[in-house]
Amino acid sequence: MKKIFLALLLVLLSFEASFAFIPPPWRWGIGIAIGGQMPISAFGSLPQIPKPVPSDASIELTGVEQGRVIITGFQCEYRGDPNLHASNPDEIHLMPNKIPFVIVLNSAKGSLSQTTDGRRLGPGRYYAIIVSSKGMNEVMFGVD
Amino acid sequence: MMKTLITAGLIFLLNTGNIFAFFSYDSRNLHHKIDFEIGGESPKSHGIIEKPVLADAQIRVKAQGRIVITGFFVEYRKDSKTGDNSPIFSQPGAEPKIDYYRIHPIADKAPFLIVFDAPNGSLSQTVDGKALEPGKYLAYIISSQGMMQIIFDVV
Repeated sequence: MKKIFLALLLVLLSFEASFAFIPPPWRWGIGIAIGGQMPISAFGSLPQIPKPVPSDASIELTGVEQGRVIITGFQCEYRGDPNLHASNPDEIHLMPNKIPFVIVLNSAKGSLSQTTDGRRLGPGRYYAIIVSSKGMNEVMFGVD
Repeated sequence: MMKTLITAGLIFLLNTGNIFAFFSYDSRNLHHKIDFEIGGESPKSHGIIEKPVLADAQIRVKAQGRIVITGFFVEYRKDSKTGDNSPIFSQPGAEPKIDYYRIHPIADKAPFLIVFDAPNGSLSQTVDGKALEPGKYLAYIISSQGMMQIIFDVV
């Protein structure tokens, strides 16, 4: 009897643990690759494009077959270990004087150079959110 | 031996929830409270603008430079237990919280984009010139001072 009780408790606790991992429904749909690289996700980190990309790198979206997609974000400073692929959110700091960038895509493919104001992204590290009718996602990437 | 193994497993699993909660990423430290109003109303601490606003509501932001607002159409799913339609839950003496799992995107509605220079703008300043349809929106306000997630209702 004791063993059954313990087994049930273990199952319940496993469920509880797994629920901590499931993102809300509006964060399910969209994937992004920049410069042909998929972001790396690790425990406790923001998804990050592993290597810096040029300012005209390609963008490929998954989970978005048609319709408008908005990519917007800002340049930020990373004070963590630069050798780590993943970004520790606690080490990401805002750079107050940088203008947010906006890219609007009408298909699943585009380029980082398609900013609405025509300005190329300067070298540095960026935080971006990707918004479509299916919800949003976020990514960190570097521009060299 | 068996008891020790079971106890060790139990302790591990008891801690697993905390470990996962600790390791699951959270970008909220990038979210800074931006002082702003839509239709004369500021968002509450949990990011919800409680009163519905008009599609041409004025936006005022206490910030400098370019402001980007982007978001998408959402609906609230009813709580299966209580039948409650609001994702906000509050307990006496505590700050209200949002149950984000009950907020679902409506896939056939295009996301909107508003760009303007602080401090004044309007919800009607969409990049494609289309007015926001009545409904609920989950949106992000992005400025050089940071970003903020909000939920608002257009009538």
